[in-house]
Amino acid sequence: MDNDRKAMLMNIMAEEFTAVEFNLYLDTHPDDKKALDDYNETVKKLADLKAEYEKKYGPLTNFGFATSESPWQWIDEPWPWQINFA
Amino acid sequence: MWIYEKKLEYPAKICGTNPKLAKAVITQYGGPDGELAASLRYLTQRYTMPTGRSKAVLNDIGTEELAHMEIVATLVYNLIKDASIEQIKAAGMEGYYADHDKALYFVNGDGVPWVAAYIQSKGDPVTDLHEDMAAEQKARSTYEYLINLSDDPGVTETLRWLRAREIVHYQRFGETLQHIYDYYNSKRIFY
Amino acid sequence: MKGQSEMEFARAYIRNQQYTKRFSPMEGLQKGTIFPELYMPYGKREKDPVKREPQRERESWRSFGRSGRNG
Repeated sequence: MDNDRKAMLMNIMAEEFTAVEFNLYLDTHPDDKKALDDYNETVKKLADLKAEYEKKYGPLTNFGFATSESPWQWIDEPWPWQINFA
Repeated sequence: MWIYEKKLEYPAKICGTNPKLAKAVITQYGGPDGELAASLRYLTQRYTMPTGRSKAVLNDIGTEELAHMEIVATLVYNLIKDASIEQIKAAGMEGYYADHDKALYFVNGDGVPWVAAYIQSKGDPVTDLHEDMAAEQKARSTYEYLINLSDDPGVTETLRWLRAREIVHYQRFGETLQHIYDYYNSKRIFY
Repeated sequence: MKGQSEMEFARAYIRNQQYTKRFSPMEGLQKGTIFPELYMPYGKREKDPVKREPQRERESWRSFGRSGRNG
């Protein structure tokens, strides 16, 4: 996988990991307004990053969560365990 | 309902072929304190949690553990995929190879297959949360032992990341336990 | 958190985390958490109550069978 694509994926991972962390925090602190605002901001940033990635490299999700070009891109390689970030 | 995202939660790194290391790391895939046990434990406990908050915590951490299982699988897959028969023999992996070739299977470091007795779903939320907190500590310790064993810097970095997640999960389960106690105190149910 | 005299018996307490600062997304991804207070890297802890010191342990074990306090 080329380095530009890996870099885009890294940025998505970083932003999404932030969202996961805020999600778990909010599950036990549902009234924390600051955390909620930061979470929502992360969601928007993440949507932009994913849209940019998917436009170039195809859908990151299936089962109705993202569109595909023809032929059906979901089956494309590499799958996540085939990518080494070493 | 689960939706799969076609990317890992963390950029796993593997610096070389190392079936000997894979044989140890696989315990976090199919072993007693591994990610399969964690995900199934939390996902099966979530049904009987008494509040929305506790259901959410069990659901979300259980889901994240599936993502961690995938990372461990990625480590094992990449550590053995290019191994020669000689390397497999030198690693003492003949038994595994005979049954599974280089495929992923749910066993611990000694080939003991996964069993449901690794997890409990007791119903009582105080009990279940203690099980969950213990599980996170067991996983943390296991990652530390694997870090001690690892001679692959990329794998070590990935193991450190997985260990860090256990600490956060422990904190969240602990917070959920406080919430459950408060919830039962407010309903004046005595245990 | 409750003081010792107000804490009940036979139950566990975990201190509640309060979000104030966080690491940047890339730093958080690298560390395994976005919260500085939950970042506890292996082997680099300064104040670790359960830190094992193998040197000391071995020495005290060796002195047990000689003229040690228990001899």
